[in-house]
Amino acid sequence: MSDTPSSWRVLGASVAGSGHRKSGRGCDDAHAYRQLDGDLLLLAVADGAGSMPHSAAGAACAVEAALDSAAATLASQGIPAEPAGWEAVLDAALRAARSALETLAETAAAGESDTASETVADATDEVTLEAGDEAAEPPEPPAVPLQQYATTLLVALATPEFVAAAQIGDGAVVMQGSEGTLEVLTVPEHGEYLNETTFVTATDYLERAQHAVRQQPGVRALALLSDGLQMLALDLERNEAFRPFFEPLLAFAAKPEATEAELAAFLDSDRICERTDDDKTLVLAVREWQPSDAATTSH
Amino acid sequence: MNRLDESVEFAQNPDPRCPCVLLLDTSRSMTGEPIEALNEGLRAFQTDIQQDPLAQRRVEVAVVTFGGEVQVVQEFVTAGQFVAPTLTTGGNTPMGAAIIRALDLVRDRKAQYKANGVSYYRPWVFMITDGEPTDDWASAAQRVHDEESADGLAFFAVGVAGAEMQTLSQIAARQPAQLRGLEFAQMFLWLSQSQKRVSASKVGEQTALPPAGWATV
Repeated sequence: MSDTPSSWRVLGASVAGSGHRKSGRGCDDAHAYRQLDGDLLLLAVADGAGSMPHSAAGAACAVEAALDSAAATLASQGIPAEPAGWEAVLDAALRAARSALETLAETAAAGESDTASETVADATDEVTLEAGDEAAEPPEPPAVPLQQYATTLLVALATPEFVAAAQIGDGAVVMQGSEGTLEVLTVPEHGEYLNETTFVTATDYLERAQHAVRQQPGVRALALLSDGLQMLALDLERNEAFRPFFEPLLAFAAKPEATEAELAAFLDSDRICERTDDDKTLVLAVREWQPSDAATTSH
Repeated sequence: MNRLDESVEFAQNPDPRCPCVLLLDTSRSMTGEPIEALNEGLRAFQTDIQQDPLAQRRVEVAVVTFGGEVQVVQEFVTAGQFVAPTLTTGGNTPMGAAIIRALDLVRDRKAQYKANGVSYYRPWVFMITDGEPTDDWASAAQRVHDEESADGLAFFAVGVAGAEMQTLSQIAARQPAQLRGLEFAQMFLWLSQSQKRVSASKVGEQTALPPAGWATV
């Protein structure tokens, strides 16, 4: 953890599903979070496509690339004061993730490792300088098809004034507002069939991305989940958060003694594994009560 | 004891469904060993699929037979409740009409899912035959191709010894498989395994029948 006083307590866990363990496959989910100076919270979750060989690497790469980009854009261009500005930050982050995956695919056969960090560092430098520019020269055919890194991606950013979320694919981002109500900011997206969703590697990934920006002083909590949990956490017909799922979890996350190991153990519990054999990721961020927040937060 | 385990409650959403139509030839030529083997295969399917708690709730099975007439022996039922029928044989092979019936069953089931807010996986129609159609099958073939192009379902055809494979390849958009001998049980086990995989959350789909195992190359 950083030395700067943090305003949020954040816990995250990604656990391999029982189905994946049966087939000898590791966890294809990934998550990342950062708290930065200026009371800035960055959260990301990604779920690699179960049928793709390198999707775990894709998911790990996507979350880091997205947050690197968001951090860099906010640092260099400042905190947006309008929703449109936030949408631009989100889109840049999604593009950075896509770009990082492309680099991963292209360098794969050259024998370089596909650890997220090296390729992400290169990719994000280019993207944050010239967001929106296409590469000047035609890309060489990728060594490994991009599809093999297919992953969904969920990103949430929070400042004292704003909450901004973007999502490609399924899973959800849920916000608890100052009054305690839960709002699903981005909803599970799938086509006609439940097991088909959009990935960052799709051609139209940006058009199909969901965006949600809220001017939300006094936000109390954020939760990001991958699709392994969506049937348990949401009323899927109405796309609403199921309170008895989130409230105990947020109360837990608010406690100083709560650990990620406990969260992971819960995700791995029999009760959950009976209902889903998919990988499960849950990131919980609870805003800590600060004396200076007294004016903005109502209790 | 993990207290989260005690305090967190789960939303009750309807189980997503994985509909599978078994479209089975019960014409005269299937009499004797073939139909016995097929019946045994159906029982093997039931046993295997009912061992999986998720598949039991999610896979839905319907059985349509064609032997003399077309009969819906089993309307869609959850795999956990499926009881393998004991089929008898007789008559000729109204395959065209049977295919249409099966496709209609799928179409109606999807409409029911949508009306009730139930999500679902791509439906399968799994046809087994040992002969060739004795009715007009052209419009059935057209519907299969239309449905496949629209990605409305996955249609698989398996020919038992004596089957007219040429005709089958015109009906099915995917390459038909030829059953090795009467290894229905093996084939049904494969089908059960595939349905279990499909009904688990996010797995790649079967796009073609495997040449190994119960099918001849």
